[in-house]
Amino acid sequence: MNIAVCIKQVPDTSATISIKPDKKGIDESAIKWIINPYDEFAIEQALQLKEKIGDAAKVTVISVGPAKVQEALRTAMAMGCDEAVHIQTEDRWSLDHLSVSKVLAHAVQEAQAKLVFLGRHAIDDDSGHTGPMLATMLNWSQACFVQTFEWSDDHIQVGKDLEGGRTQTWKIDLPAVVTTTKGLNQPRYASLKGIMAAKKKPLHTKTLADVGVDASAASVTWSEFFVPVQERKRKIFKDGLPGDVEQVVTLLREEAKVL
Amino acid sequence: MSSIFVYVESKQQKLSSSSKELLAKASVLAKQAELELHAISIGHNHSSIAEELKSFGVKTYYLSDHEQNLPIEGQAYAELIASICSKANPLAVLATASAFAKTIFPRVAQLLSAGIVTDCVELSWDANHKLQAQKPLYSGKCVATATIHTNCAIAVCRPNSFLEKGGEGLSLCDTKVETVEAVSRHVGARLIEEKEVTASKVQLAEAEIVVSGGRSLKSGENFSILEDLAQVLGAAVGASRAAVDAGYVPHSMQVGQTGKTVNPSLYIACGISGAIQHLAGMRTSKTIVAINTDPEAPIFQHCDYGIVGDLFDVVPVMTQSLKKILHQ
Repeated sequence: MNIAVCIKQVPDTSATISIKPDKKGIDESAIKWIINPYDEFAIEQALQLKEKIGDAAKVTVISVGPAKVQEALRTAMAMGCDEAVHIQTEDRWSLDHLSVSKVLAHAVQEAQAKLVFLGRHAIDDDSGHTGPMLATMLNWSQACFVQTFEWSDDHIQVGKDLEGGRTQTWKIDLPAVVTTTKGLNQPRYASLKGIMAAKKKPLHTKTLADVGVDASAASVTWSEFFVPVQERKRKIFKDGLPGDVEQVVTLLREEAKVL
Repeated sequence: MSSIFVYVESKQQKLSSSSKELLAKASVLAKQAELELHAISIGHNHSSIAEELKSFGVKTYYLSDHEQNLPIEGQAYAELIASICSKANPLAVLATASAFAKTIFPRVAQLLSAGIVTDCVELSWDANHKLQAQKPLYSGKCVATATIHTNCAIAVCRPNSFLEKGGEGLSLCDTKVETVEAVSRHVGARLIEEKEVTASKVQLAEAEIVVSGGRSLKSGENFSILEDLAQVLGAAVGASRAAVDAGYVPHSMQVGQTGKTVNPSLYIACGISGAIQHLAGMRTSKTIVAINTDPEAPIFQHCDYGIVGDLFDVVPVMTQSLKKILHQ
């Protein structure tokens, strides 16, 4: 069985974000790039499934973006993915999510995958559109925010946490798109041996024209980036209880008016 | 006449507070662009909801009253919503950014070839009558304006974002209720089990007040002192990544860049140091209270009111104090 994993390269969670002078995007020059943390759970789940199935399984990792995303694809192959597909774009923001899902659907079909894993959302644009859109493009079932995963021949069984303290278990026919969240597994680190092996694994590069996508007519465009500044009162109390609590409760009622 | 659709959700046969907030905003947007306002919901018919919709000037309430009280799988919901919308060619479809909506509306967008923006915190029309949405990016480290160019724009909006309270938009009108048949078909997904696992009923992402705990809680059991405080306030309980990684509480409770983003009027951070990735998930809270033993903790730079002290001492005193005041 062929399994696909779609990953996105994003700024590190500890990165400080600053805005370009034209306010049309962020300054990417000083940013350290990582694989989207939710996509790491997707890679790990695909690799665990491959280990269970054995040699009959192949894991293809796919990413859309500028040349730099090849670093993320190499890391994924160092973790154990068999091959990579990179669909090259000029930058990270001009392709909209409808087009991204179209590009990914093309790559997933080309990889002849029956199951696709991707993170629940990427921590750069925080949208979570790609999983459900990809499922729609492929006309496959979707299972989002998955925290437990079991596979058997023609279906999968997944568990998810709902809001308000409920959990659900779903049985989903293959082919399917699964979006992964924290708690599903513990992503492995790439071993030195894995890193060496990844250098020899195939990485296929394609252009948008190769997959028949026109990036010029984006459904959504972005402008007026800014860093919000929130002034805080910073009234700190350290005189002991219960006086400190009484003062804060009074301020919450009379100054902040939130109680 | 062109229109705006709002996907509404109900709680105990009443519109949810997030849906009311969204309707108030939609009503103003409809008035500005001279559009009709319609509402959609999937679930049981509650005449009380149709009554509530009148005050926002909702013209038609499309209701799909599915027979069994079972959740339909996402695909079926998305197809139903898309088919209702496609009949009326709306300029915009709005929904509240619940976990459910976040899995459904990207599908709706794909089906309608509509541009979509999720977690919008402000909406307006630009000079060409295109919907513009302000949206936090990088977990709120920055904010940008998205312009949606498609004929139909979908905006999934973060709760507690809009200032409109209702009454600023369209005037009262008679809401017509239209029932829509859900087409049942094989969707390749079956719900096998649904379980209640925790007692907390307040949803974190929509909560008006959030009480959060960090690694200093030392165990999952100790979160009960936060739950006591949360119960007095009607608040949801959240946690830092450190507390989740230590295994005290599930990831569904995590606030921060790799967890949930919350936007409450009051956020109480207990034993949380204030790492950049945690701040990213709660920085838009209207008022922030911090309780921490370390006076140098970064959280004190980002709070309105801070108490330097051990949360195990401070939180119970606060719970008692609030109990007295709020019950007066």
